Order: sequence, then structure tokens, then C-alpha cells
Amino acid sequence: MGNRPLIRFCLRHSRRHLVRTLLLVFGIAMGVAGVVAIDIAKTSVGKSFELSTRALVSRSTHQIAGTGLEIPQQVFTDIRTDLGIHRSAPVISRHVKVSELGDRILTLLGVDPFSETHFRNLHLSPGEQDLSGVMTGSKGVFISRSHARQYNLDIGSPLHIFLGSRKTAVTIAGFLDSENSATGRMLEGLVVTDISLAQEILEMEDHITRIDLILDQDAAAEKIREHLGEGLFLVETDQQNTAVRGLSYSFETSLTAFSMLALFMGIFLIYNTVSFSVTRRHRLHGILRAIGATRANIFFTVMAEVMVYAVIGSVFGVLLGILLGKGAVQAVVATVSEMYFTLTVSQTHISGFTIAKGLLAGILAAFVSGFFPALSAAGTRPVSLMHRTVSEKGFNRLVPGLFICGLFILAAAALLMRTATPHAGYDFTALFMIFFGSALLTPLLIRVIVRVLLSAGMGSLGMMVKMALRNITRSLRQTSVLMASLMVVTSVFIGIEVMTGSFRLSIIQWVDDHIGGDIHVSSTDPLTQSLDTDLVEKIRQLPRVESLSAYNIHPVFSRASGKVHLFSYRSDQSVKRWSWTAAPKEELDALLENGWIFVSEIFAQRHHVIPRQGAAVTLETQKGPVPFQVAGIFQDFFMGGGRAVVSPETMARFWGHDDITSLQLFLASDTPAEPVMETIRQMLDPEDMIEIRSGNAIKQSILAVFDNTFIITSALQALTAIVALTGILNAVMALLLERTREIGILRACGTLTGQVKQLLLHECFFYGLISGIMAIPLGTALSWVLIHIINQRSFGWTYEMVLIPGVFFQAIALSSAAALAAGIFPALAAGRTHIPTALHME
Amino acid sequence: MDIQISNIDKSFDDSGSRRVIFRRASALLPSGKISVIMGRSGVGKSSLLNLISGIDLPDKGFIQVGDHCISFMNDTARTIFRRRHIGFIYQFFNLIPVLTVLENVTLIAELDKVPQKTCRRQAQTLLEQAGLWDRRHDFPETLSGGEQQRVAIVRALVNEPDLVLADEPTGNLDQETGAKIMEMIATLARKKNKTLIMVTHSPDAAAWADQIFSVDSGILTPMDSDTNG
Amino acid sequence: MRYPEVILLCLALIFPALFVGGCAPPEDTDRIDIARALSDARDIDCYDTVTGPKPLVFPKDAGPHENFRTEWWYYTGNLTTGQGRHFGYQLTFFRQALSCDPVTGASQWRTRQLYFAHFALTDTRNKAFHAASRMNRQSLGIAGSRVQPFTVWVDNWQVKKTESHLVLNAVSDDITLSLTLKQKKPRILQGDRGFSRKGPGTGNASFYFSLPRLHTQGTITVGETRFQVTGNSWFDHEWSTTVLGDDVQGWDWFSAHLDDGRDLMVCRIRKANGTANGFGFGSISFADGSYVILSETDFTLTPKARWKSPDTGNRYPVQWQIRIPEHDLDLSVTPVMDNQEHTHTFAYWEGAMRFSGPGVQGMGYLEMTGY
Repeated sequence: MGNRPLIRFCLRHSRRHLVRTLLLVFGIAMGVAGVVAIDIAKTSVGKSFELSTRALVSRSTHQIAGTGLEIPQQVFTDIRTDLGIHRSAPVISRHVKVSELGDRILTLLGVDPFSETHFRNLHLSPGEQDLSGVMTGSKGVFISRSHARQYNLDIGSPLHIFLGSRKTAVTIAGFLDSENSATGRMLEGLVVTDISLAQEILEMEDHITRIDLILDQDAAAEKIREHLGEGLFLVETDQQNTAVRGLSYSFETSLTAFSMLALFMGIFLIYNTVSFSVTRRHRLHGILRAIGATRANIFFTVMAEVMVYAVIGSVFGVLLGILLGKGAVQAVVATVSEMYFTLTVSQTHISGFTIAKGLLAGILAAFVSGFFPALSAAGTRPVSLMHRTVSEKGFNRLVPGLFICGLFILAAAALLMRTATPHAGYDFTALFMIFFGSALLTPLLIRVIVRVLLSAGMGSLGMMVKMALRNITRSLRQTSVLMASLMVVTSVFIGIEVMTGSFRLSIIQWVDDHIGGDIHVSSTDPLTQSLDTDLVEKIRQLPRVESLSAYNIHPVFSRASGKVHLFSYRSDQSVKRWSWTAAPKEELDALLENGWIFVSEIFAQRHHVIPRQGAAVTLETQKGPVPFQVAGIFQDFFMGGGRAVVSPETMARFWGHDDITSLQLFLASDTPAEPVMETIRQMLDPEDMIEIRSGNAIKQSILAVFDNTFIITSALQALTAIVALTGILNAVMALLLERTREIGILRACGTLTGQVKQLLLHECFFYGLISGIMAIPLGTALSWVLIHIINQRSFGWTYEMVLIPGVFFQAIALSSAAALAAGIFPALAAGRTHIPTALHME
Repeated sequence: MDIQISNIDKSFDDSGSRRVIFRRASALLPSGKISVIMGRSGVGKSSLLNLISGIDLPDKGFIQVGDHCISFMNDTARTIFRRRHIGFIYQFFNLIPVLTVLENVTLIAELDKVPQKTCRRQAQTLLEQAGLWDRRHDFPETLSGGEQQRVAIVRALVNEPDLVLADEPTGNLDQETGAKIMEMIATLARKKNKTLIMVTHSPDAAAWADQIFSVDSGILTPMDSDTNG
Repeated sequence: MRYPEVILLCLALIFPALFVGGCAPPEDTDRIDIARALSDARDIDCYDTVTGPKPLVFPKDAGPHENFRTEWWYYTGNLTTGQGRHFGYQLTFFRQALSCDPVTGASQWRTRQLYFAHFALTDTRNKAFHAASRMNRQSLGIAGSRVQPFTVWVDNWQVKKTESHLVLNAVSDDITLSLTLKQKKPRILQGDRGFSRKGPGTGNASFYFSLPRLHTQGTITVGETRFQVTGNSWFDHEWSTTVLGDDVQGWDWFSAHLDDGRDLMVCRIRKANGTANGFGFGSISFADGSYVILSETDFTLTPKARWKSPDTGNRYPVQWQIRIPEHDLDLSVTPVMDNQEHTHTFAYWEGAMRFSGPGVQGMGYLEMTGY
């Protein structure tokens, strides 16, 4: 029998049941949209990074950098005149805020135009410009033409450059422009000046940020290394870029993990829909088989239909994903900028590869999830032999076997996650296996739970309740699929909820421990971060100040992560939580004094510090590279390249910093903070760029940053809720519409419409309840995996999993509500049953 | 109770075409008697039972069951009436698969909120009579066709309905079993003086009839069993 | 006389072109046109101008004159190896002032002086011409010049005076030049005691002196091969503010070391219509060190065969006839190779030449601009 008439028939059948078909398409679309949106966000981060950072050092092979993130400018003279390295360029670069450009953060780039020919493409717009005095003394800067147009700025317009709260006034001398649109976007992230002006704005005296070099021989690199003094070093540009770029890779990987979840949801949805569609057509398939369609015909027909809708759904999904992706980019770029490295240019990048990935994912998912229903359809016996109870019996026999299979798969997943070499691919596969394995457990679990419910007396709540429960086990083959799907989706909800909840609690705890002071005093002038020692003394002696934690923070260069922050405490009031420590507290203090250091988890991960006796790490200092023994690793949520705590002596000796940059004040109990803050403000001059904030204010702002990071996951939760609802909608409708005959009987026997509706809604409620109950352990396991495996590998943080019972109730409520909602339509339809038709009387 | 059928019209829309089942049909089905409805297949016999029981409504005319004008009652009223006064026996048994034999039998009473004890007592009596009391906790699928139909009969009668409707009650059974079933139905009906209206085309079943009606060309015509005898 | 300051003016216009990426030369900047450069007048009021002769003082005047707008130190020479293989070299350092107002701003990168240099090597045997240029600001010792000891440099291209001689070093890609130059003859103060007139207007003049013959020896490294070379070099030092007048298209400048011990320099300045503007100049330094100053009427320069550049399309007269009747000089001037054209930001031709006449031979350099 040719396939085409079959396919045509099936398509027509689908068109008649438009809603169901639309749901199928929608399911595929949602899964694909999730994948595409996250992929767009990720590639956009990569592209934005290119435009913000990498492009600025595009052709250089090496850089000369210093520990304190600046080098003496004399080094450039030596490079040029003594070493004769012609392809070298001095660079001053720093992130600043420009108020006239919408308060954007841009890179202030000070360059020497004569050196630039080999390095950067900083095209000036020809024609209009005012270059007079650029080198001799003017404050002219160059910004991108597109920004100028956007904000209506012209040659001569003033701009205000903010570094912290330090403000400098400059004027626009010309525009950066390019015909190449990629270059044009890159230029948008810059404020370009002559190196002299940049040096003046940043008050760098006789320092510059770095020297870019193009070296084509190792001999030249060696020559330079020999020449450089202590505290200066030669790095390979690509390596540095990769190190900095790598800071956010893990974050992006975790995003992919979440997008995979969206795809899983889609797969379950499709499986549900197709499998129930097949069941609905059971009789039809039986007739077809009876009149001569082969198994292959049926299989092919079902698959073909699924694929047609898969393609349509994937296309819609890609379009939807592009839409969502654009929004996701904003959130992700903002998060990455806050947490890892500043992105001055945000570029939404939609590559053909992403689209291909999305389409492929959708089609593959549809194929995989349609495969088994198609197989079962192909196995339909010809109509004269149809007896539904037979296939149910067969399934019932399989149930224990499925359970054992499921256990094995779960065990395998656990093993996979525990492998020595963590790999994102393994993690995703393991995640999928967990879902799949759990799904196989559901038939047996459902049977058990129903039995428990019945024996617990549920049956005494009425005939309808008893019937509802019994109906579940009676059609286990279908109801278990439905409930497995609902369970998976609900567990995702639980998993994400527990993960974010635990995280938030940990952050709050951490903030309380580390930033526990009632009042914080620090400088907002990035060029003079030190607090005046007299001021510190005066504050210490204020009457209500019980104790004071004085410390300094200085960013220093790191080969492994671009930049790390060093802390040294005069008196450390913070409470640290350790993931590894070699010694108790008193010894730790002694170790610090001996020159040992503590590092944060992220630092340890980036610099490959392995916890064991004698763990060490080499840091670049003013005295050259120096190895430091690591005394312990503390849990930390500080972002970027990591933190290390050293003693004040070590900080002074190796990095030349002997100051205090921040104070935390602990007030006597019950002292209100505001009056003390006011007193301190009075001590300051009006121009002093010093910030006084209450501990609460700081905590809130830190929490706000972290809350942003979970916008994506919240979106995903919403997505799973939507998918949950639509997923089972179809399944529930199909399942319940099959009860038509039974409903006819009941109505004929004298059951009221209302009672019949009740029956269906009870059944739905139990679907939801049981799925929710089963979702609790799965969801808990999922959150454990998310926290301890995926999050830990992604961010390098560890934190405790906190289970709040409220989440479980929420989850059960969600699944029950979804199931009930799905049952409304069928219940209404059931109420309107035409009894004779239902009873097949005529 | 008497069943009075007055001038009913009934037609079905069958995917585009209109099929007229009854046109100005009238009949009187006497109380306490066994009436058999006969006719060709598809002519509307089962529809008549649906109309009498209130499961369906005529397009025109009305049907009176005893003192109740069933055609003018709303759905709820009809359903409750059906519950309390009518017992239905089907060709395909139509037992609820997820309920045990006992539960199937007591279903209607439980719907009516009759106290458990009373339900059970009634059920027990009838089931014992049907010889199925030991199987009361079994599910229908474990019973043979004849046993299932017996349960169905018990279900129909357990509420002491005044009217029993049977649609091809032996249609799905072999001759021997069918005869036994028929005997059971008729005996129980006669014993309790219930009105039994039966649709069948089995002559053995029809032999039990007090009165025979035929459905043809949209009307109901009584056939004189005595004259045919 | 070297480059009109007008062309250096163009360089200030090129400043933005430097931002155009890629390696030198920039892809799509047009070659600078003198006429176009003329149209952009600069504010020159505060610079010193050359209006009349002033005594030149040494060693001070060997160094920079920062209140004048334009300045250059110019070295050319013809060198041969022991085996007779010939090389010609040119190393020129230019200074251009960006402003006559003092610098404002604290950064040491602030400056008002720009230095750039051209370096060229003619490898006659391989018919290869290597040319490179550098440009830098006078900050942080990256480029500049000073009096004591006399040094002029851009990056690691440098000429420095020691006790007895000058040391010249330049490295570009795979060409290295390392020479010592010994002054063999006294200084020539060109024009009127160093005041060299170039045009009719006030200030159309420069201060100009030459060291006509510097005995040169050292090494040239081309790729892997090193050559020991000796020969003679010519040195010019000139500074001015508005040396060229209107209607100047270019000039043709010759220098030669003759084998009879005389050193010759002649130059004519061309107007737009190709004719001389009447302010040509020259000098002949004799074997004993004495010299005479030539004026336009003392010599004739006749262009002969032309060569068309495949890169710029300019047609340069690369063969000439120089007649200086009063000094019995009738020299036929031919290039060691045709293509010795600089094609950087502005195009000009500067190359080693053979001078040959009845009874006298020599080697020297020819510079042609404005074609």
C-alpha cells in the first residue's frame, strides 16, 4: 500500500483536530526556542567579548604587563630604541563611564597613532575633525559616529568621563567610523584619545597600562624577557584573552545545561502528544491493518506525520527562539559584565550554526520521541483482533522489568557524573539518563501509590474517587506516560527552585559573614583608593564604634585569569567558610604572618590549586614571580578571577601596598547606623570621594547582582510551567475522551452530569498529585545535581542545598493545578456527552 | 407503570443526511407486562428505549412514564428519575471495568446516597440469586459473558426500579446462556410485577413477551401475539 | 635643499591617515599632492622665520631649532665592498613642529615636535631598492635630537657624534646599516653664509649647511649576508618655516663626489609649468676644502630620458646633463638603477647616480619631487 494516501489521510485527520496538532507543533517550537535562545545568548557573549576586548588587541602577539596593572613608560623607549622592536605600541586602557552617552561603560583607549598602524583599525571619519592640539595639549577625544548620532553630539561637544566618582571634562575632536560593520560595532565600545590625554585623565604620571607587541620570533621574546625588570613580564596575547574569556565559559555552559532542560521538556511533550495521538487512532490503525496496510506502512505514516509537524514546529521554534534570544542577550551580557569582564559592546549574534542547531534539535527530538509510539502503532493488531485489555496486560507484565531497568540507568547516570574528568557532555547525558531512568520507574511507583491511597481510605471518599484512582492503574500504559512527563517537568521546577533558593540563602549567609559590618567606608576614586590614616583613626575613636575591620583590596595581574583581587586585613572580622583548610584558625593567622596565603574557590579553580599539603601558586609581584604556599581555600561568591588573602606585610613587601582602602565598622548593639554615618560624613571635605554605606545597603546591592544571574533560570522555570500545562493538556484530553463509553454507561445508569465531571476532575487531580509526589525525590536529586555538579563545575562555588518544604507543596500544587486545568475541557465535554452515541447503541 | 408514547417525532442527522426514526408514533405499553419491541436492524428500536428512559428526547410529542412526563423534565430530573425508577440492561453488558462486581451493582445506590448497609443487603440478595455472591470482589473482565450479563441484570434490578429496559440482552450470548438469562430477567420482572420493555430479535426471547410491538416506517405497531400464536 | 616644508605640512594632514589601519602604506589614502597641501594654510605667526642671514654657531646649530617649523638632517652615500659591489644609502631625519604654542598638559607624551625618518638602500647588483619610514613624536626619548653630543634619532635609527666621527645605525626588516662617517672637508654654509633663498617672498628661505664629503665605512647586512663597505657620504642640515613660495611644483637636486676631489651640489626649483623659478642654487667644494656658491645662472640642468614608475605612474627624468661651464663641468648623470622611487605617503625619487664627463667621474645622489 502506498504511503502517500495514508499520509494525506493522517494530515487531514490532524487538521480536523487542529488544537491537538497545534499543541504538538507548539511543543516542538518551545523546546527548539529554548535551545536557540540560549545559544544566541552564548554566541552573543562571545561576539561581544570579541568586539569589546579581543578586537582591541587584534594583531598583537604579545604584551608587556605589570603586576599592578600598569608599567613604567620608560619601558617603551627601551623597547623602541635599545631593543629596536618596531612593531610595538604603548597602550593606556581603562573602563570609564561617559554620562553623555547614556551612562555607558566604555573603554578609554589612549594610543600613539604612530605606533598604531600595525595594530588596531581605528578609522577616523574623514572630513570633520578637529585635530589641532591633540598631541600638544587639547582635551579632544574620538568616539564612534553612531554613538554621536544617537546622542546628537558634534565636534566640539563636551563629554564627561567618570572614573568612580572622579569626573573629567573633555570635548569631541572627531568620529570613529568604518565601512566594515563588525569594526564599526567594535568602535562603539571605545573612547579613543592620544595616549597623552589618557595618561592625564587617569593621572597615571609616568606609567602606561601595557605595551602591545608583534613578535614573529621566539628570539625576540627572549630578548625582551631578559630586558624586563622585576614586576614586569611578557605574556602572550592569545593566552591572556583566552584566560579572561574563559572566566565566563562555565557560566555559559550552565546556561546550555538549562537550555537542554527546555529541550527535554519538549521531547516529553512530543512523546506525550504523539503517543496519545497514536492511541486515539488505534481503531483506525486496526482497520488499516485489517484491510492491508503493512506494519512498515503504519510506522512510516506515523513518523512522517510527526516529522512534518516537527519541521513546522522547528521553524516556528527558531523564530520564537530568535525573539527570546534577543531578550536573553541583554540579561546575559549584563550578568557577564557584572560578574566576569566588562563588555563595552553588546552584540546580538545570530549565526547560521545556531539556527541549524535549533532545527536539528527539534527534528531529532521529534524523531526520538515519535519513534516508540510509531513502533507501537505499527504493532497494532488488525481490528477484528482488537482488545485493549490484552495490550494492557502485556504492559503490566513489563512493569517490574521497567522498574529494574530504570534503577540501572539511574545508577549508570550517577557513575557518569562521578567520573574523574568532568565534562559538560557527560553531565548532560547523565541528566538525560536521570530523567529517562526515573520515567521508567513511574509505572510501578504509580501502582504502589494508588494502592496506598486506596487502602488509606481514599475510596471511602466516594465512588467517583475510587473509580478515579482505579482508572489510573487500569490504563497504566498511558497514564504512566502522562504522569512521568508531568513528574519530570515538576521535578525541573523543584530542582531550579531549590537551587536558586539554596543559593540565595548561601549568599545571604556569606554576605552576613564577610560583609557583616554595620557601616562601610571606602573610596570611590579609583585613582586614589587609600583612605587617609587620620580619618581611619578618627573613625575608630567614635564612641559607638565597637570594633573596626580595616583592610585593603588591590587588583593585580594574573596570567591564569587576567586579574585577581588581593585582600589584606589589619583586623579580620569576617567569618570564612572553608572548603579545605590545612590548619585551625590560630595556626592560620600564624601562617598568614609567615607569608602563606588563602585563596577563594574560584581562585583555586582558575589557578589549579590542588588541596593538599604544600599546595602552592606562583603570583607575579613587584619582585618578579614568587611562589606562595596556600594555607586554605575558602568559600566565596566574589566574582571575576578570584580572591586571595595575604598578610599586610606580604602585601606591602611584594606589591608595594601599605594602605587601607576600606573600613567595616561594627557598632554597639542597637545603635542606629544613620547618625554615626552622618557624623562620619561631617568629618569629610565636600570634595572627598569617599562613600559611606550601611551594611544593609551593601547587602541589598550584592544580592541584587546575584538575583540578576537567575533571571534566565526563572525564565526557564516559567517555560517549564508552560510546557507542563500544554504537554499534559493533550494527553489528558486524549485519555479522558476515551472514557466516553464509560461515561455513557454512568450517565445511563443515572449519574448526573456534575458527578461525571467530578469523576474526570478527580482523575486529573490524582494525576497531578501522584506526579507531584513522585517529583519530590526526583526534583531533590535534580537540585543536588544542579548544585553540586553543574553549578560547582560551572562557577567553582559550593554551597549547601536547603530543602524548604514550601517548595514541595508548591510543586505538588503546580502539577495538580496543571492536571486539573488540563481536565477542564474534557470534563465539560463529558458533561455534554450524547449518551446513545457514547454507548454505541446505534 | 404504564408507558404512554404520544405522537413522537425523532430523526437523526447522520453526517449530512437526515434519518427519520419515528414520525407521529404513538403506543401504550401496559404496566406490569413484558413488552417486546421488534424490527429490522437500525430501524430505531434502541432509540425508543433511549427515549423512554429519558436518555434522549423526542423532537416532537412526549412520553409519559407512569405519572411522569419524562419528555418535559430537565436533564437532572430525568437522570435522577432514571436512577431511581429505571433499570437498564445492555447487549454489551456495560459494566464499569474498574469496579468489582459488588461495586458495579451498588454503584447506582451509592450515587443516590443510599446508606451502605442497605445497598449491600439488596445486592447480596440478588447476587446470591444470580449465583455470583462469591465473585463479588472480582472484576468484570474475569467473568464470562453470561456471568457479566447476570451482574448487569442484578445492577438493573437492585434499586427496585418500576421499569426495566433491556436492549438485546441476549445478543452477545450463546443460545443456552441466553435462554438462562432471559429466564432470569423475565422471572424477576414477573415476580416483582415490573414493567419490562425489551428490544430483541431473538424469537426465544420474544416468546416471553406479553405484547409485541414492531417498529416500521416510523411508527410503532402493536402485534397481536395471540393472533400470531 | 631638501623637502619643501609644504610637503611636511601634508604630513600633518596625514596624521589622520595613520589611523587608517593596516601596515604602511595605508590602503586608500591618495598620494599627497603638493598643490592640495598648499590649499591648507597653517597658522604660522608664532614661528621664527628665515628672513635674512644670521651667523650660524657650532656646535649649537648642529642640533634642532625648535622654533622653526621644519628641519631635516640628511645623509646619503655611495658605498662599495672590497669586491666592487655597489650600494647606495639614504637616511634622512625630519622634524616638524605641530604648534608654536607651548605644550599644555602634564603628560610627558605631550609634545609639539614630530620626528620622522626615511631610510633607503639601493642594492645595485640585485637591482633591488629597499625603502622604509618611521614616524614618532619627540617624547620619552623615542625620537629627537640634541646638541651635546650631537644625536638625531627615531626609534633605533640613529646618528650620533663621538669624539672623532659620526656613528650611523639603522635597522629595517632584514636590512641593517652600521657606518662610521669621518668629516673630510670643512662645512659649506650654503647661500649667503647659510641663508639660502628659495623664492621671491619674505621668509621663502632656509638656513642651510652641508658637510660635503664624509669618508664612510662600516657594514651593510642584507638578509643573512654581511658586507664590509667603504665610500663617501654627503650631509645636509636645513631648517625653515615657510621656505617655499606659491606656484612651486617640485625640484631636482643633485650631489656628487667627483674623483678629482671636488664635491658638487646643484638644484633647481620647478614651477607648475615645468620651468625653473629662478632661485636655483648650488655649491662646489674643492679638494682643498674651499668652496664656491653657485646661483641659478651658473649652471644648466637638462633632463633627458624619462622613466615611468609602475607604482605611481609618475614619469621621472632619470637621466640628466649638468653643465657648469665656468668650472669645466659637463656631466652626464645616469642612475645605477631606474626604480629608486619612494612610494610612502608622498612619492619622490631619490637614488644613487653616476656622474660622468670629460676627464672626470663620480658618484652621487639625485632627488626629484613633484612629478
